[in-house]
Amino acid sequence: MRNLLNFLWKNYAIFLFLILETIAFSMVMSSGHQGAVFSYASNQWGGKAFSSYQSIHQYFKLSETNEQLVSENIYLRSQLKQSYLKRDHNSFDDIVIKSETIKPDSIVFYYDTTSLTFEYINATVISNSVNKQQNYLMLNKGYQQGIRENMGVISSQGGVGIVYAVSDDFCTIISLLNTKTNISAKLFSSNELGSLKWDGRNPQIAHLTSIETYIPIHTGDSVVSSGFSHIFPEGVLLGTIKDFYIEASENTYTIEVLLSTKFSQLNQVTIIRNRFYEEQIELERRKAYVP
Amino acid sequence: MFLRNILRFLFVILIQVFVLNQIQFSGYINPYYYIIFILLLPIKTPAWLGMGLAFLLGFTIDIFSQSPGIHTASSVFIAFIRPSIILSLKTSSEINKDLEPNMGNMGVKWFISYTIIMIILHHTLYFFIEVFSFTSFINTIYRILISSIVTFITIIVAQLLTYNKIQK
Repeated sequence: MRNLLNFLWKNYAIFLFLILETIAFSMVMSSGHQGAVFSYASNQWGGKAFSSYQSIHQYFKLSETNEQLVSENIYLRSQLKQSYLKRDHNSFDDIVIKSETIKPDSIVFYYDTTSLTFEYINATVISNSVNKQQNYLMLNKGYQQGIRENMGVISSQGGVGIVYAVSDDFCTIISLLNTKTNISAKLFSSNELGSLKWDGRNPQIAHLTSIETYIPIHTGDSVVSSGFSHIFPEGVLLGTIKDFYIEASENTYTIEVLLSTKFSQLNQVTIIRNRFYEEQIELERRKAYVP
Repeated sequence: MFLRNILRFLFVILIQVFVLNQIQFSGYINPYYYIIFILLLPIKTPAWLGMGLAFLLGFTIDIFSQSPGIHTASSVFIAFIRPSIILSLKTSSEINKDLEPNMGNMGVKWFISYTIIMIILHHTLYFFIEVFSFTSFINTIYRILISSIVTFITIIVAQLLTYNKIQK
């Protein structure tokens, strides 16, 4: 017994080392939604520190932020009904059509403006990284502001990521630049579905997979969100095709997508709430039980 | 000595979290300057204290960089291996154990080899835990090398700034 204690005492450093490493590795392993304790601590404490830092940092970025906001305003203004040309449809041809029951422009999409599907609130990025394999962002909005897991996040330039963990006042975003992220995307021109993944190397390039080779694609085509994951609305710009090639004995393209968001310069972002997210996910879950 | 190390502990966290982590050079360059705290602990620091401090330091950095356990694991490892590296670089009779192993006390050549070994060990462990696979092996090696060089430069520059003071 005494020998054993002696042995343990002499080699205590090794045992302490093993204990500490076990604790550390159990943290590494628990990095999922299950690692809630760590992500909450990281969120809440880190958030407090970063938000005071960010308020100083932001001051120096004001002009840049302004520029971005102006350009987004211009874009949004161009989407207004008033910005479209009002065509006078009354012409001699119309007289002929009016005599029939169906008018060519009688198909109207009905938007229910009283209940929006997607709602937007702004948030400020308080911490960010692009140089790891698993990159996360932290925003200054949390549970108390109505943020929940699995809400989409976009910037004025395009898609950014998905809300991953929420604490009282802050939330963590799993960035597009994360090897675990997988976003349902499509080609704007042909509506062809694929999924967007990052391989952990260049922070400007992601890869679009599962587009079959018989579909014609071109460099410069836009890649947008499909809207099928119920997180992003349809058509949020994610990037443009930079390069594509077909590897031997593959029937899908390998497509390099130049991401439209400059992740290293992110400052102001928008969080998207889908009011029907729970309902849609519940419905999708139900189909799993169909015999 | 005691107070100085506490101040250094806080200082390296501030520098790492609010300066180096904020600078996004490219996907490959991530300097981890904070390990200078572990490098400069006095030689006679008992193993339990060294590893305990390394654990605390790594965990704090982890909290602020949202990387659960990765910095903790690699910091504890270099704190554990540090006494043997100091011994292997110089026979124990030559060392005054009260000193901290900085550039002024140990000589430029000694300090450079000590720093390189510690950085390579730390970064190798860090980047392999981060990827958690050997699939992108070459890419990971590349990240380790580039980041080690930048970390090395930051640590040497920090040492030179204080080294001059000692000479005067």
